[in-house]
Amino acid sequence: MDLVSTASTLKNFLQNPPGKSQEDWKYTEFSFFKKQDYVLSTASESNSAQYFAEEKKIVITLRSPFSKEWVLQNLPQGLRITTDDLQKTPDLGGYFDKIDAQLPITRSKLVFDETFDSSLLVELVLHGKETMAPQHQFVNKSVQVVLKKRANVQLVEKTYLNQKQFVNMSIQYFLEENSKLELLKVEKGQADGRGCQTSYFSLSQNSEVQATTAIIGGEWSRHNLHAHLMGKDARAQFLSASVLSNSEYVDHHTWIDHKVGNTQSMQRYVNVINDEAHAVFNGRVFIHRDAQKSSAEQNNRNLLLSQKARIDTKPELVIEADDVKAKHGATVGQLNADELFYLRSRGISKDQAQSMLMKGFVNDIADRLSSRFKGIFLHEMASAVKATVYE
Amino acid sequence: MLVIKDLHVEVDGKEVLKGITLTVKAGEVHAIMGPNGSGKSTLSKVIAGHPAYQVTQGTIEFEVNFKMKNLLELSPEERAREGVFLAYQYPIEIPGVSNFDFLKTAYNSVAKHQGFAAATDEDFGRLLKKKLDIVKMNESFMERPVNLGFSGGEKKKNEIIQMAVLSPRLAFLDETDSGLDIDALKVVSEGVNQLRTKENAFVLVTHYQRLLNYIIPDHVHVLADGKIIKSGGKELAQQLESKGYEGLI
Repeated sequence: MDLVSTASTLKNFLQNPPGKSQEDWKYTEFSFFKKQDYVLSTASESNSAQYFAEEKKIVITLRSPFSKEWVLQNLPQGLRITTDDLQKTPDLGGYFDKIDAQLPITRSKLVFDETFDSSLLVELVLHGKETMAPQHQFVNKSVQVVLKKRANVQLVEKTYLNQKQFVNMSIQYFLEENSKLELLKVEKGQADGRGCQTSYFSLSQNSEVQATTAIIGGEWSRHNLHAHLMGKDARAQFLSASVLSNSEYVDHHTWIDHKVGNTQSMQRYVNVINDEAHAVFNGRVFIHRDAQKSSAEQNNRNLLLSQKARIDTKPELVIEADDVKAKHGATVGQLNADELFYLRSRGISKDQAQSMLMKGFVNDIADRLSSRFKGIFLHEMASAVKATVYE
Repeated sequence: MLVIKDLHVEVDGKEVLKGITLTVKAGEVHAIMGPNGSGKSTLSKVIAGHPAYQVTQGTIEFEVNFKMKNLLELSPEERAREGVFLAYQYPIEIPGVSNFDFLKTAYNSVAKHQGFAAATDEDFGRLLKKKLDIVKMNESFMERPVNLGFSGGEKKKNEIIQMAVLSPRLAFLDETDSGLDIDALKVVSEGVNQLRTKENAFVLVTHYQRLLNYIIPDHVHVLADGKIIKSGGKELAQQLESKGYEGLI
C-alpha cells in the first residue's frame, strides 16, 4: 500500500465515524476528527524487550506499528517474542477494528509458557511518551499475547496519549487451559491526547483473567473489552476506576460472552466525575443457551461532583440459559449521606470525610487486587485523586 | 453533664419526640427502654446531630469545659470532639476505607481538638491493640474496609472499639444488644463496663432488659409515644420484664 492511498484511506475512515444512531456510539462525540486532519504515524524504530533481573521486571516496548525488528536483551525462560504464526483474530465488529484491515500493520506475538517465572512483572509499553508531533497523528498498533497451558503472568500495560495523537490500539490475549493472567491497564495522557483500545480475551477451560483499567488524564478515551469464555470454569473479572476532571471523556464498553456452562464473570467499574467531564459505562453480558450454571455480576458506581458532570450508564444482561446466577446494577449520585454522617459523628470534619469517601470509592477497586498490583494501581491513581479531592 | 428540656423533634414533618426532659450526670448509667416506634433511636440521632431530625422546641445542653453549652449549635464532628459518642444500631459500611485509617483519622481529629499531638501509625497501632483486647477482636479487622462484610456481632464490637479509641464523656448506645448472641453480649457488656469511670456517662437505649443484667444502670426511663412516661431505678427494668410495656402504658 503506498503512502498516498494510505492517507486517503485514513482520511475517508476518519471523516465517516459511526453516528449517534448507532447504539454502541450514541454517547460518543467524534467532532475532533472533522476539525483536524490526522496523518498516519510512520515511526519505524525497532521494538525492544529487556529483562532487569534485579528488579524482577521485563520491559517490552512496542515502538512501531510496522517494524518486524525486535531488540531482545537477556529474555527470561518461558517468554518468546515472534512476528510469525499469529493467532486468528475474531471479528468483533467494532469501528476501530476495521481500520486494522485497511492500514498497513505488523503484529507481534508474546508467548508465555508454564516455565515462565510468575513472580516476574511484565511491563508492556504499548505506546510511550513522545515529543509533540508537528501535526495531528493517528497511531495504529496491535499486539497478541498468548498464555500457554498453566502459564501464570502479571502484566502491566502502559499507554500514553500524547498531545495531538490518536492512539488506536488492539490487544488480543489468548489464555490456554489452566492459565492465569493478572492485567493492569494504565492509560495516561495529556490534553488533546486521545485513544481507543480494543482488548480481546479468549479464555479456555479453567483459565482466569483479572483486567483492571486505570485511566489518568487524556482528553478522550474509549476502552472496548471483550471476553469470550470458551471453556468450562473460565473466569473473567473486569475492574476499573476513573477520576475525571475538566472536559475529559472516558467511555467503557464491555462484552462478556459466556459461551459454555460453569463460567463466571464479574465487572466492577467506578467513576468519580468532576467539572464538565463525561463518563460512559455500557457493560454487556451474554449468557448463551448452553452456558448453564454460569454466574455473572456487573456493577457500575458513579460519583458526580459538579452540576455539569455527566454519566451515561447502561448495564445489560442477555440471558438465554435458565439455570444461571446473574445480577447487575448501577448507582449515580453524590456522596452517600449516611456514610458522611457516620464519619462526621466520629469527629472527622466534613471536608476530610468527603475526601476519605472519594478515595474509598477508588480503593474499593484497589482492595480487589493482589498486593503488588494494588501498590502500582494506587500509586498511578494518586495523582488523579489528589487533583480532584484536595483542590 | 447533659440536660435535655422539653425536647420536641420532627422527622419528615412528623413529630416523633413530644417533650423529653432528662438529666444525665457524670459517672451515671441510664437506660432508656421502650417499645418499637417510641422514639428511642430518634433521641440518640438527635444527640449525635443527624441532619434529618428537626428540633422544633426545647433545649439540649452539654457541659464543655465546666460550662453548659447549647449542643444543638454544634456540628456532628464538633459534638464528637467535645466527647459525645453514638454507638449505632445499624453501623454503616464504608467500602474502600480501612478500619485502621478511619479510626486513626477520627482519633487524631479528636486529639487535635483536645490539644494533644496527632498519633503516628506506629503509636496508634499500639493504642489500638489495647482497645481491641477489650472486645477480644483480632487485628486483622483493622485492615478490612469499615464494617464491610462484618457479621452483626462484629459490627457492634467495632462500635465499642471506636468508643474505646475516642474515650467519649457521654456515650449513647443505640440497641447495641440487638442481634448479639449471648457470648457476644457478654463481651460487649464487659467492654462497656471496663470503660466506665467517674468522669463519663452512658445512656443505653434498649428494647430488652437482657443487656441490663450485664451493665447495671443507675436510672431507667420508659419511653412511649415520644415521651418519658416513667423513671426509676434498676428495679423498673425488671418490672417491665415481668409486666411488659402494656402494663405501664
